[in-house]
Amino acid sequence: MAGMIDLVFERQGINLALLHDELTAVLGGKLVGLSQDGRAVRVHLLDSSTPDERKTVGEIVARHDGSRFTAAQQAERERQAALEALRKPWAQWSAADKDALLRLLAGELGLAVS
Amino acid sequence: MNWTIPKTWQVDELLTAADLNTHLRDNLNALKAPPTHVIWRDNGAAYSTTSTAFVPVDSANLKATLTTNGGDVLVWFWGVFHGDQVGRRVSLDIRVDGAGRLAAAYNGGLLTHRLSTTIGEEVVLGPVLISGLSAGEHTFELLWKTSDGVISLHADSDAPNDYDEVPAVLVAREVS
Repeated sequence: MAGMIDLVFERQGINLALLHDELTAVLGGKLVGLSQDGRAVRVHLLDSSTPDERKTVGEIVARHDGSRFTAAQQAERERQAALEALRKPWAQWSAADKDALLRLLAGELGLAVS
Repeated sequence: MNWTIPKTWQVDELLTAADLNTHLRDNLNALKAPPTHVIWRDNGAAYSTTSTAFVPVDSANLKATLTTNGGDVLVWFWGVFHGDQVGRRVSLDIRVDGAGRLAAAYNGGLLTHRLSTTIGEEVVLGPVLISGLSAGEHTFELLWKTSDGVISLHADSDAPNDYDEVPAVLVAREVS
């Protein structure tokens, strides 16, 4: 696309959200985004990015660990785990369980729960 | 089969086999089977993007190519998308002949859809009629972007779940 260049890396096992965060930390607004098709990852950069920055992209993609999670993904995993822990008959619910559900619902409503 | 602008017949003009074949038979055949490209894309995996500017979904495989007779072209697409969080918005547009995009005046593209689940929901683009194309080869390429986070398009005939096991379908057909 106009004003952009794409760098393509044949890599699998990418956590796209995490790699996006890792590249944004270095490139800031020069990173337009990433795309993947299951075989390769395509890094969309503004064409104002420098050769050094493009080289850095390659290094970050090479050392990316797709088994790690972003903070948001980790929070979602914890939310799912908390929900899973509540899947039991009502008679078995403790006061702490009810408090945990309230926290989950408050989080859904965008209320502060910490 | 190419379309030929029908001739204007004159009074007492001799009907020749060549003229009838060209202007009736061939044109009827051309109307029966207009230039069409139907793509049922099985990528073997979902496509995903974090791009907040329009980029091609797949420049090689989600791009319809037609050799037209100079008529209008109808393009449409459907696919099943999901976001990594509820509320992600997927925007779609079409790039014609490798330049710009159809709805260039609109930041949201031809269509912006809010994904209300993280499992998958169908998004249909078009049909949209594209006019003003000269006779010859033209390409129609699907573009997408996300509002935030990761959005994915399912295109896999061997996905673990039935609701993921769907093609991404792009169609272009000359219609006039």
